[in-house]
Amino acid sequence: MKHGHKEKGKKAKAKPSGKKASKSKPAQAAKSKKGSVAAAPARGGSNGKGRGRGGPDGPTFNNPVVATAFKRAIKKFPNAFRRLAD
Amino acid sequence: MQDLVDLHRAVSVEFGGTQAHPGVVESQFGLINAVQRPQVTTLGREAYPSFPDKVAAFLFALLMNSPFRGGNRRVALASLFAFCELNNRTIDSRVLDEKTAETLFKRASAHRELGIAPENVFREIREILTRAIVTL
Repeated sequence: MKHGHKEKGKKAKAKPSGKKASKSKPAQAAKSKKGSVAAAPARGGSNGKGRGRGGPDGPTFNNPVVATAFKRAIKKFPNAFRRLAD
Repeated sequence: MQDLVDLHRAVSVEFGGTQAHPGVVESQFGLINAVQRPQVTTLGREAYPSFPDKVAAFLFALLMNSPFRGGNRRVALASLFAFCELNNRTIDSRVLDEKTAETLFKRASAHRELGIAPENVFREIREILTRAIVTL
């Protein structure tokens, strides 16, 4: 009985390589796209407190004055920041 | 508090390094202690009355407590600018240049190994900051 089940499983796996597989690929891609679109607002939603994240735009701050100060600091003392590693 | 965590995250992301743990607070007590240090009073009087005293007390506490997992000295340097900026002051880089800042922060965090008394470290920070901090 077990062998029978395994063979059926193999057949089921083998089927998608045919014409049906080519049809199912766009559907999967669409699903993954939907997933990514849905995930993006969720990330933004979890960021309700406005906590900083190291994203493509650079680090973010709650306080714009602190952000300005940080930019000024790394502009003035770039080498000191590199050398002051723990 | 949150501003300091933001600064730590920013510094770790920007400069990385093997010890970078963005935004990871190892000692919450140490962080609160450093943030509250400038407001300390002794027998009803402010322990750190002038602005440079307050900044020096805060930096000294931050360097001694090392509340973050890595990047404590870099956060201290960034928070020096933030502290001044929030109080309409700035750092005169002719007095506190890169090399001086680097040496000062390294000496402060390694004062035990170097055999320097903590009060001397604090005095050194305060003296430099008294000359370096200017009103905008």
